[in-house]
Amino acid sequence: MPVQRVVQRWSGSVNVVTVGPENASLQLGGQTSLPFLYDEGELPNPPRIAMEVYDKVPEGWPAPLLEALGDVVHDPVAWAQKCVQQWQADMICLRLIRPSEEEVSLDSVAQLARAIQDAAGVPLIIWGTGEGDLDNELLPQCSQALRGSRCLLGVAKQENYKTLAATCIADGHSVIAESPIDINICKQVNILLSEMDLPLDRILIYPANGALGYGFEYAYSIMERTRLAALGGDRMMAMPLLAVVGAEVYRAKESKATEEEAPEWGALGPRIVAWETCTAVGYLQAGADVVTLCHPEAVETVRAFVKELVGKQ
Amino acid sequence: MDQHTVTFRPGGQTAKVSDCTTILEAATQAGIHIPNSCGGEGSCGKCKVIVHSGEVFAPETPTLDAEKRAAGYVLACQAMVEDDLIVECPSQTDRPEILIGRVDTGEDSEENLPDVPIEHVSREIDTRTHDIPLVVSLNLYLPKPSVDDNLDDLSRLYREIRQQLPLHHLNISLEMLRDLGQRLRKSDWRVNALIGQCNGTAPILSLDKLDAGDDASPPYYGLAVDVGTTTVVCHLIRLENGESVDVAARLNSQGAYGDDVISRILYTTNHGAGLKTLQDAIVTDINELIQEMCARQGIHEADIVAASIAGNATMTHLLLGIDPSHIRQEPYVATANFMPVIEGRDIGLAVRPNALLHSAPGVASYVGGDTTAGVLACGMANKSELSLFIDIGTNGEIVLGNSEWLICCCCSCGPAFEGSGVRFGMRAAQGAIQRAHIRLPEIDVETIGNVPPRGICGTGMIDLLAEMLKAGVLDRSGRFQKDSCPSRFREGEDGCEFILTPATISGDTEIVLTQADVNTLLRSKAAVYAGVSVLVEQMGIAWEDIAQIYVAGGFGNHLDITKSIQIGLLPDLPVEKYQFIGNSSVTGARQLLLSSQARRFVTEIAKKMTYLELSANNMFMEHFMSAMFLPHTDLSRFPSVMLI
Repeated sequence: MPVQRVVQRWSGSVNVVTVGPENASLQLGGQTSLPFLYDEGELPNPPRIAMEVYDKVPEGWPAPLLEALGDVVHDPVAWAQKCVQQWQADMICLRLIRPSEEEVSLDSVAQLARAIQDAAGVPLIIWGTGEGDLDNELLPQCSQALRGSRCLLGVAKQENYKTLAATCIADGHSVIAESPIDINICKQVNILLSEMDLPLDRILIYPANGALGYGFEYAYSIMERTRLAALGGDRMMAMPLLAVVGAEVYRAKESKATEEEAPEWGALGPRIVAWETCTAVGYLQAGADVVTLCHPEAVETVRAFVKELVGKQ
Repeated sequence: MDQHTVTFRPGGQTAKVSDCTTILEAATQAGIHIPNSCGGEGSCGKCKVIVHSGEVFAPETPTLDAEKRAAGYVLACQAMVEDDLIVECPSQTDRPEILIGRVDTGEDSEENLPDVPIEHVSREIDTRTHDIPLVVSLNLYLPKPSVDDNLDDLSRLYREIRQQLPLHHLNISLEMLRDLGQRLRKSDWRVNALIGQCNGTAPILSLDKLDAGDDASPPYYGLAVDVGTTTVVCHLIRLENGESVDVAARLNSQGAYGDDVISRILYTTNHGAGLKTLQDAIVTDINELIQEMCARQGIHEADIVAASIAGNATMTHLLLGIDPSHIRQEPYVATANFMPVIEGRDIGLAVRPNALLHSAPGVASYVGGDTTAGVLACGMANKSELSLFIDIGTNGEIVLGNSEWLICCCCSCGPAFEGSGVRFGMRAAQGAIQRAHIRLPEIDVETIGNVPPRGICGTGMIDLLAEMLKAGVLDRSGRFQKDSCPSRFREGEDGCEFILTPATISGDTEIVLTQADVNTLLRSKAAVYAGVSVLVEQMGIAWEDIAQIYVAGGFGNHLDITKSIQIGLLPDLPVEKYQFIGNSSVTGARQLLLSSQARRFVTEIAKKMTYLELSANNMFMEHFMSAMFLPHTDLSRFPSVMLI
């Protein structure tokens, strides 16, 4: 008996967000179907891999990760360059931690961001310290220094979004809008940003996801619901999605305990690669348009995975 | 056991208490209201007081940090008196006394019955339609017995009564019967009789001599009482013509034992004499209102011969002294939804001892007599078109239906719109801000009675939210935008504060709205909208099919429907479909006092109404979360509110 194929057609589509300088720009989003379902709609832009670069080596990073990255971890510009040249990162995600821990001039941070942009030559994400007042001073400086580079700046939250939105509007960047794994607040932040006249195609949704084992399913379902709302025609939910992987994985105890401390978990080296990979692959299935990773091997595996699925179109 | 004296500042009131009494109990004894919304569980942290001298036993609590403890702060509900104490109540200092003050009923009375079409009451009691009040007064001129008409005295009395009114099951007490023969003859067969309507019988409550030539019936009064969780409103009504001659209102002093019905029920189960304490509190409240009105009108309490009560199930149980604990426990069943008619003396009401007291029937544990009275008052239950009834109180009750069916649900809104739980919240009384106009940096406020502002009533809060949103003081998530007008913002104890009216040299109070207040209001309005949405969507009704929406609530004189829609409190339907009917519970209670048809009909309403339990409904939480935005996360629900 012939089986009729059921094909779901959607009325809505994901916004297209263009990032990066003129000569190295990328487009994110644009889908008219759920992730990797090429038979059901258009998926013009594959998911992108951003590699995380820090202005200071985070405390407690596992030795195998530091080993894989090499000496460049002490020089963010070289680190970013290596991510692009050696590990073919699509984007760089500069995560700022130094300004909240020590006295640094905000201008020097902005100059660092500028230098990374120039050296890497790919679209840049600038992730603030997470301290609202500090970021409200820091991010506008970075924004001005990178005017015209169409970066992604984050994060805007319901309780602190105005400064970031205003500066991104002025300097032509896009905003990463964070919501605490909450579909309502997700939409509310987008409404608040758009009421500031930030165009809807200059917002990315970051659902404050965790690593595998840390509320993964919860974030997965929120991302899936967000995407379903977008495809259903809700313009305020139609932003591309960003999932943080590296920073989340290296907060987990599974990425810290050595083999001696937890023999049943096996060797730490392959474990951290697997943890990053599984987290990333899961969120790609949920609809992530950008995942941020740390480990070069994880980057390679995830890229292969994306290529495999994209190749099936 | 040792006795200690506790002195409270700033008022200087004292209480003599024994060891192991809590400061909260001592305060209540001294007549001081210390805010407390958890019912003395030690979890809300609102009852902070400072012990200036003397020893207390105060267990550590997470709601007080080390700094506060070092400064002498304790939680009044947890700290036990072990010594003579001097205690300062900060809540008494920064909360104006208006919060427990009474309504001034001057010329600009704010508790007038709203102009609602009264379906069941003709103002002149028309005995031909047999529609009679709970207690009816009849002047009887009995023919003297003779050899030809030798009916016995009681039958003669009944015959005369039935000639005027077809009352069934007339009844007389033995005491009155023993005196009947003498009384009729001494009165020369001219008497005034008070006859009640009591659980299927018609007892004769009194027989009084009528003076020759005096055909006027003595003035008898009844009470219509709305026993709200937060507010008690009482009307004094002339029974012969249904006229409301006076009104008085106050906060329900059970509030000292918890803000909501759940914490009050907990109080009755966790304290030995808790039920008695709460019953005494509400009876005392009503008695004080009665005495206030009697004094004003120059009448005697004994002239009040009937009372009609409308309250939610918990309030009705507590007033009648019935254990409410099962209301809180699964499967949430009350002792009685249909209360028998009782006598005033049964609960110690300051009225004629055998005055009859009728309670509006309830539907379910969380949909009580206040709702059935409201449905009765708005008249939706005898219209064929579909109506929605929204009663915004501490509990929001929502009823959808028509003359054929009624479905209701209940959601917890908190007491914010009634003036509690918001720093400068107050009842709709003189000096309450009821309207505002914001054009930064200017803010114009309009108060009830056009006197200097003392606080904000519920309708004022709705007005303010809409105005602040429009002026950019708030963003859509309800957060203060300090850059909109920096001079009006400052940091206070509860975070950011927005100064509405500054203090003046002439002594006007400074009135602020805090971020915490706005968050509270946001939750309240979200609960109402979510309840309405679930009910309407659950029934598969299109919003446009609703022909009429009655909004009830005793939170002000005027409710601006447009602004209520702008903040997402009410659904976005044409303004002409809305009618604000004020305190419908007391309007209904008045009808029940005056009309036997209304009493029959309200029973029908209560029996007909289906209750939808929101706690068993997974959609409510979804709707509630989406509604925590101005006006709503789903903007397509509010097309008339201009956006983007």
